[in-house]
Amino acid sequence: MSSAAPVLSRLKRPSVIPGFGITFGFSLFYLGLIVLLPLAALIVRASRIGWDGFLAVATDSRVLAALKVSFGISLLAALVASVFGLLVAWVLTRYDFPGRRIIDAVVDLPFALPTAVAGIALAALYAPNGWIGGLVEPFGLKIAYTPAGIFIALVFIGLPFAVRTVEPLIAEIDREQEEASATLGASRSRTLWKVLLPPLIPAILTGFALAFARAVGEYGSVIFIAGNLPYVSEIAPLLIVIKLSEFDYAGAAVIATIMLAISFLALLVINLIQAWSRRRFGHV
Amino acid sequence: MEIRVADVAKRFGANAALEDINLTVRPGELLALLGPSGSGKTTLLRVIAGLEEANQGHVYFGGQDATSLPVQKRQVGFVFQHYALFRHMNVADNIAYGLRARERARRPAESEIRDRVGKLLDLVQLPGLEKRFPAQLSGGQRQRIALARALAVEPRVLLLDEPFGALDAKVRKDLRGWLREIHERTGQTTIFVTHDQDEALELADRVAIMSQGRLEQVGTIDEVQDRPATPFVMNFLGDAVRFDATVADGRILVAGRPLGFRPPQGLSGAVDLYCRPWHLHLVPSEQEDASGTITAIRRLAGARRVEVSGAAAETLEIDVPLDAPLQPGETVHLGIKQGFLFPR
Amino acid sequence: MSDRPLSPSPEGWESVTTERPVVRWTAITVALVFLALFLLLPLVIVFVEAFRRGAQAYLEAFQEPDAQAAIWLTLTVAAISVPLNVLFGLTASWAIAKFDFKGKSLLITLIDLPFSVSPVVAGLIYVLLFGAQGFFGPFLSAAGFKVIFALPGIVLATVFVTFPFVARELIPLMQEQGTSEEEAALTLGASGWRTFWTVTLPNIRWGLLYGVLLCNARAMGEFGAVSVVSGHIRGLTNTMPLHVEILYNEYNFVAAFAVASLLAGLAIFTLGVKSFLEWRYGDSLSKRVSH
Repeated sequence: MSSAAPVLSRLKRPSVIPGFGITFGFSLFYLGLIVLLPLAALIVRASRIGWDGFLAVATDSRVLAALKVSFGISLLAALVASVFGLLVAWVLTRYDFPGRRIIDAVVDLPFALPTAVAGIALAALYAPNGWIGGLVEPFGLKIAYTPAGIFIALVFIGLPFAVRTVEPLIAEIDREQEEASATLGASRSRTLWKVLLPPLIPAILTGFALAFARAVGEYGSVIFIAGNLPYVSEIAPLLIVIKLSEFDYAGAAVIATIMLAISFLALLVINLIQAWSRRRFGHV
Repeated sequence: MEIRVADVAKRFGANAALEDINLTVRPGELLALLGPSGSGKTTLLRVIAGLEEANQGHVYFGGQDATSLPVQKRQVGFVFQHYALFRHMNVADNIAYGLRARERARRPAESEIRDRVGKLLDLVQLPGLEKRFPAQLSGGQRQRIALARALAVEPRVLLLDEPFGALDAKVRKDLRGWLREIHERTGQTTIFVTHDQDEALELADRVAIMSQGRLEQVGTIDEVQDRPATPFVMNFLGDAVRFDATVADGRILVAGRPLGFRPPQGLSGAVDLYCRPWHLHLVPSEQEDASGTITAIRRLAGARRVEVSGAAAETLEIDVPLDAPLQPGETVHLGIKQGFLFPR
Repeated sequence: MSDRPLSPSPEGWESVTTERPVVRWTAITVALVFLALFLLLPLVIVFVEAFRRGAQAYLEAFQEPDAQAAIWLTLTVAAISVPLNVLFGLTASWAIAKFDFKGKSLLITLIDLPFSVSPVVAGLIYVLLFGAQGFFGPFLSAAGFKVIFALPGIVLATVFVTFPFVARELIPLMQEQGTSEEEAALTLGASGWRTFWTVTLPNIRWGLLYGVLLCNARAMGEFGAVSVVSGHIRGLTNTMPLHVEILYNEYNFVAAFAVASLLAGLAIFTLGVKSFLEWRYGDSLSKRVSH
C-alpha cells in the first residue's frame, strides 16, 4: 500500500473514505484475471495464424453462411423485438388493466429462464406437432428446424432489452408536453408521432442494439429450434463449438474474434447514441 | 374575446375541486386567478382550456358555447408551468408547431410560417434564436418561447398557469413587466393563475380570488382591497385581525363599547370585525375600543412592532413610533379607526 | 405549487393524455397476445411436457444418479461463483462509487464487457488458455491439474458470464447514495470497516440481494459457456442445463422437461422475488436498467 500511495494520489482525488487502494486493486486484479487476460488470449490466438489465415477462415463459405444467418436473423429479430417492445412498454406504463403487475414481471422471463430451457420449450411449441407449430403446419408452414425458428428464439431473447430500455423514458414523459400539443390544436396521433415518439428514439435504438448484440451471440435457446443445417440454419456460435470439437482452435478463435468485433461495434454505437442524445436533449 | 364561465362545478372522486363558478372575463382584459394552492385555480384554468371537463356548467367563448369543444378545437394559447417546450425541436419548430398541426386548408405556407416565427421572436424579444434547442435556453428564455408558441396559433384567449413559478426572483420581476407590455401591445384576452398576490396586484386589470374551489371575489385591485367580500379575501390580501363584535341600533359594539364608525346597512347581531394593522392606533385609556397586554416588542427600520394579546380574537401586531414608551407586560389601549364587518 | 389534480378524468370525457378506448384496448390486446405467445406459452409448456406421463414419471427423472449429480454440480458451481462475484461487486462498487479517479468510465465499461460477449466465446477463451492445446495447457497437464472438462473450467466460465451482475446493480445505487453518510460515520469515529458494515451495507442490502438473485439465476442456468468447457461427461461435468440437453437429444423428453422444470421454477422464484423487491423496496434499488 505504501509504495502504491504516490501513484494512487495522482490517479484519484483525495478523500477521507478509506479502502480505495485495496478495493480498486482487487477489482482491477479480478477484472484482469477473469475477463481481460482470457480475451487477450483469444486475440493473440486469432492473430497467430496471420492475416491470410484469418481471411481464409473468415471467407470460408460455411463460415460466411453462418455469419450471414446470425447477423441477418439477429437484425430482423431485434427489429421486431424493438417494435413490440415499444408497444409492450407503452401498454405497461400508460394503461391500467387487470394483471398488469404480473405481466410486467413476465417481461423479464428471458433474462431469468436458462437459455437451454427456453430452447427446448420453444422447440416443443413450434415443432410440427407442437401447440403453435401444429396450428401453422396445415398451411405448409414450418417454424421449428428452419431459420424462422431461429428468429422466434432471438425475438424471445431480445424482447426484455427492448422493453426495459424504453420503459423508464415512457414513464418519465411529462404530461404537460402532451397537453401543450393538444392545446396547440394537434390531434392525438400527431401528438404521438411528433411529440412523444421522437424523444424515445435514442432509447429505442439502444434497446435495438442491445437486443441485436445479445441475439448475435445467443446459443442455448437457438440450437434446439434451429435444425442446425449447414448453410441454412447454422449460427456462428454453433460453428465455433463445431470447430472446437474438431480441435480447430484457430478457426474457432477467428470466428469468435469477428463476433467480438461486431459486439463491440454495437456497444460503441450505443454509447454514441447516448452521447448524442445527451448533447441534444440535455439528458438521455 | 369575452370568456364566460357559468355554474361550473368539477369533482375529482369525492372531492369538489370547483363549485358553482361564475366568471366573466372581458375582451382584452388581463385577469389573475389568485388563490392558495389547492384552491382550484389551476383546475378552473384547465376547464376553460378544455384540458379538464367540468361535471356541470358551461364555458362560453364570445357567446359561443365551447363546453363540449375538445381542447384541440378551442383555439386557446396555454402556457404551462414548466413551459412544456418540445425538447427535440428547435425554437422555430416549437413555435411553428401549432400552425403546422392545422389541417391543410387552414395551414399557412412554409414561407409564411417562417415569417410568423420571426415576428413572434421579435415580439418576445429573442430574435435570431430559431435554431436553438430548449436545453440551450435559460429559464426566462424558455418562458418567452412558450409564450410565443402559444401566441402563434392566434388564440382566442391566452391562459398562463403560474407563469413565473419556476423562475428565480430577479427574472420574475423582469418578466412581469414584460408580460404586461406584451399584453398592452397585443390586446389579447389573458387569464393567468398565481398564488402570489403581489404578482396578481401588479399585473392584472382584475383579480378573481379563489378558495377551496369557490370564487370569493372578482374585482379590480381597488375593489378587493377597499371592499373585501369575504373574510378569506381580507386575510389573503394582507395582515388582518379579527374582533368579536355586535351590531345593534346602527352601531358597532366591541366588548360592549361602541366604535366611532357606522356599520353598513342590513347587518345586525353578532358579527366579525376585521381590521388591517393601520386601522388600529394607540389611544388614552378613556378612549379605548379594546385593550390588551404587550407580549413582545420588536424593532423595525422606522418603527417598533408591538405584539398584543387579549385585545382581539387572536394575538395582533401594530406598529408604533420609535419613541412610544412601551414595555412588555404593559397594558395598551387601542382605538379602532376602521374595519370590515362580516356576518358570523 | 400546482394544485393540478393527479386523478384521471371521469368516465365519458376523452382525456387529452391518453388514446381513445378502442385504440387503448387494441394495443393492450395485441401486447398481451404477443407476450402470451412469446413468453408465457414457453413457460407453460415446460411444465406440461414434464408432467405428460404423470407425477410418477416426473419424479423418476430425479432419481437417476446422473440427474442428481447434475443438480449437485450446479449447486456447487453457483456456490463458488456467486460469492466470488459478490466480493468483486462490493469492492468494485466501493472503489467506483465512493472515489473519483481517472479512467473510471473505462473501468465501468470493462465491467460490462462480459454482457456483450457470446457465451460460446466466453467458454472458448478459457479453452484457449487452459485446454490441451492452450497457452497453459501443457504446463497444467504436467502438473496433473485439470481445468478444462473439469470443475475449475466450469466455474471460470460461469464466473465470466455472471461477472457484471452484482457490480452493475451496486455501482449506480451507491453513486446515487453518495458519500455523505460514510463521511458522517467517519467523523463520528467509526473505522472504515465498521462504516461499511453499519452504514453502507444496510443502505445497499436490497440492491445487493437483487444482484445476487440475478447472478445466481444466470449461474445455475448458464448453458453456452459451460457447454464449451465441460466436455459433457455424464455424472461428472454435466450441470443441469447440460443434462437437459443430453436428455432432450436422447428423446427422453419427460426427463428433460422435468429437470428443465426445476430451472424454470428457479426462474419464476427469481422473478417473483425481483418483482417483490421492486414493489416493496423500489426506492432503495437503482433506477438503472438491469439485465
